[in-house]
Amino acid sequence: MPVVWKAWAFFKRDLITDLSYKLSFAFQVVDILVSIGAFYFLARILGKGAYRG
Amino acid sequence: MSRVAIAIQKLTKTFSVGKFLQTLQKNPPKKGGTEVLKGISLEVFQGEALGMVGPNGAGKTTLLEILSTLLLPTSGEATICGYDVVREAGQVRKVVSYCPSASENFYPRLTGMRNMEFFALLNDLSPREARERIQTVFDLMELEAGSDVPFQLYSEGMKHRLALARALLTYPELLLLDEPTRSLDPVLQGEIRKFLRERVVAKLGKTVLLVTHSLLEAEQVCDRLAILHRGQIVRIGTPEEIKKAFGGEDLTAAFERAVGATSCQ
Repeated sequence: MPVVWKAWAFFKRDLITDLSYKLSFAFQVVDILVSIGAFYFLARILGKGAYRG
Repeated sequence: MSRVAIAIQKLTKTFSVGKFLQTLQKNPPKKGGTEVLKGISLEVFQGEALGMVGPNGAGKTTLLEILSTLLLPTSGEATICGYDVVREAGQVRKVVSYCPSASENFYPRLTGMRNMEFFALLNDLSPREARERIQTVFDLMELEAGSDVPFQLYSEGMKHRLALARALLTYPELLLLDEPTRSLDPVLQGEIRKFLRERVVAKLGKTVLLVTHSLLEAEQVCDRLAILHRGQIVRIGTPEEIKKAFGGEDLTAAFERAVGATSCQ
């Protein structure tokens, strides 16, 4: 269990530190959403034909 | 005060630089490296506070880093509560806490409580144990008011107290303190000295090795003093014994005679 607690300690430390930079954290979330959207629409444009070569 | 907490036998430490790095240095160190500790032998008894004083570069911090297993000695032997600092480093870390002089090694955006939780979990405490112990040391150090304040907003005094609280978190047998009152105002210095003397040593019965540049602090907190100069122990004894040995009217005069008129407050 100590290994799990240690991993949790590092995760919590990084999460709290990231959350404390509010604007930067918000931009990171927006960036992820934009990237997902871009890949979704790119996939739709290319369609299944892209796999056939 | 009969059992030995720290036993050091002919301990040496030499910092050497590799040949490639030597070619890059303008003034490379002499052959064989820089000898920082030159065969130190010392005993500190359980429940005792020993003050280590000496000019800059005497090797005080190097000695603390060897005893806290952060550095390996070049030769000689050192044991903490019977555990060898080289062969049984894991056991040594369980009984020793090292409080370095810089109080900045906390995470600035985390609160005092979150910082302590992080270090408690790294020290193999369960979350429940961690909460209980943090509460205890916060009460002891009177840090309750600052527990929810980010570390970056702490005053210097609170930072020092938090560093001491972290050192006490694991309930160590032995505390290694490197200038715990550096850059503090005289009132706060007095409070921390009183806390170390009355609570840590007298009440909790901890063994303390205190490195300091303040002879007043060493005299107020410690039972015995060791004067370290150029990697060697010049004298160990009570403040009275040191004054008598070097013939000074006070400890500063005796210290200056011991190290050859080197400046020290």
